[in-house]
Amino acid sequence: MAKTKAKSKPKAKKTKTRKTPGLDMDFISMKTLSDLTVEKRINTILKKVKEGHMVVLDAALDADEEAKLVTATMHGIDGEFTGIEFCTLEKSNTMAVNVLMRLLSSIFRASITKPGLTFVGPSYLIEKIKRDPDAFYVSTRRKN
Amino acid sequence: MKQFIRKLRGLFNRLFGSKREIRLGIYGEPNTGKTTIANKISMDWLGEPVGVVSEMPHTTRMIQKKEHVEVKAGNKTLNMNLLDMPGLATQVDYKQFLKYKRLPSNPGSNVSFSDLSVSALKKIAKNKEIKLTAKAKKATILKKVKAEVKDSELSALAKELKIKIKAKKITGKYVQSEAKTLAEEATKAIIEAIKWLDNVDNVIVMMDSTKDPLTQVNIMLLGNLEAKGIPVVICANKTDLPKAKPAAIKDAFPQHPVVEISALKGTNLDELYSTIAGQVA
Ligand SMILES: Nc1nc2c(ncn2[C@@H]2O[C@H](COP(=O)(O)OP(=O)(O)O)[C@@H](O)[C@H]2O)c(=O)[nH]1
Ligand SMILES: [Mg+2]
Repeated sequence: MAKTKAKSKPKAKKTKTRKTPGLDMDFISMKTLSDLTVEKRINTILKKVKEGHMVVLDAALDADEEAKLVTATMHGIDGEFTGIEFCTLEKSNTMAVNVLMRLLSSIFRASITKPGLTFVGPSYLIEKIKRDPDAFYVSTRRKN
Repeated sequence: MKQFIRKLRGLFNRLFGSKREIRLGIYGEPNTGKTTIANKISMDWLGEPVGVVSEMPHTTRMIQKKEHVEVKAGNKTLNMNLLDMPGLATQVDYKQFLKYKRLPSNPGSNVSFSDLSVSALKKIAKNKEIKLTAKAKKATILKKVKAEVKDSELSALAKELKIKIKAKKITGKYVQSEAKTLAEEATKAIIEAIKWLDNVDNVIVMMDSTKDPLTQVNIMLLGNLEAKGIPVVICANKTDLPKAKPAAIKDAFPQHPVVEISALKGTNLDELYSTIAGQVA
């Protein structure tokens, strides 16, 4: 616990004094992360989320990776970082994978079609995620 | 490999009719009724409760075990160790606890650091040979004791040292420092519950039928259980409420048996027992 805290301290400060009032969205190809170990991959994602970014990957995390993501998140929770909201869509050949992300608090509206994907965001920025079998809808909260 | 051992064990039991107890983990999101069902099963068959039920999420912050629970399911007997798990979540905000009234903690059982007075902490420090300065403040003592004593040994230690835990006053809400302690305990509990997915034989996944079942936590939980080859029964709980829509749970997870129950009223538990019994080799 203490270790994680020490490491994330500068990041936490950055969250507080962010310059841009809008949303930061990072779209990352799984290819760039595939050389890393699962732990490092998850840390890379979490680091961005702790900075207040929404992260979208072009592949779905598997069940084990999801559990590791939640475990790493729990280790990182302190007074400032309250956790994540995330959503994975699995590769599907039978269904047309259709993703529509509604970001209510900003003008942002994007639709991506990929065989699998993962969305991770800081919980304080996400009002709720509503999911269907083949889509999910993200409603964000306005930053104070 | 784990799956292989599991299969071997099943085969062994079938061959020799072993009465090995199954470890039945009760998993799910916070507030779905996990402790309520654990208590109901344990009260019905053992005559004693497992843990504290409350409307506050993350009330169960330590895995609660009840051993040797023997349940009749039709013409079968289920021997199990009940494991009431902390609720799984992807976020824990300490502020959520500020709006709840302090729980009257079961004196002595499930002692948490926030229950301890300065003198109790000093007693533990002495027992553990932790050096303290005469002027050490409560926060300092707490920090030092926490570094030496695990949450899980606290209850036993308190008992051993005859530390009296006062039942907390029901009046008054949690204050900030207490809320932060609760949040820290809740995050550790979630990590522990996830680890235990490797140690359970069968699992009940509790869902609140009045809520949307398609959450990432449920999907992650079922995905992990499926990958590990652990048999699952989903309980569509709280069917006593008019808003309950157990059909939504069946639609969302057609790959698992769904039993509609009310843990509170004790409805349909026979079907739950026989479904579990059917999954035990
Ligand atoms: N109406 C209704 N309420 C329930 C039922 N089961 C649990 N509850 C309530 O849901 C809340 C959370 O219950 P609890 O067992 O502590 O949930 P846990 O966090 O999953 O262990 C409490 O207020 C319970 O009384 C049920 O079958 N019907
Ligand atoms: Mg509970």
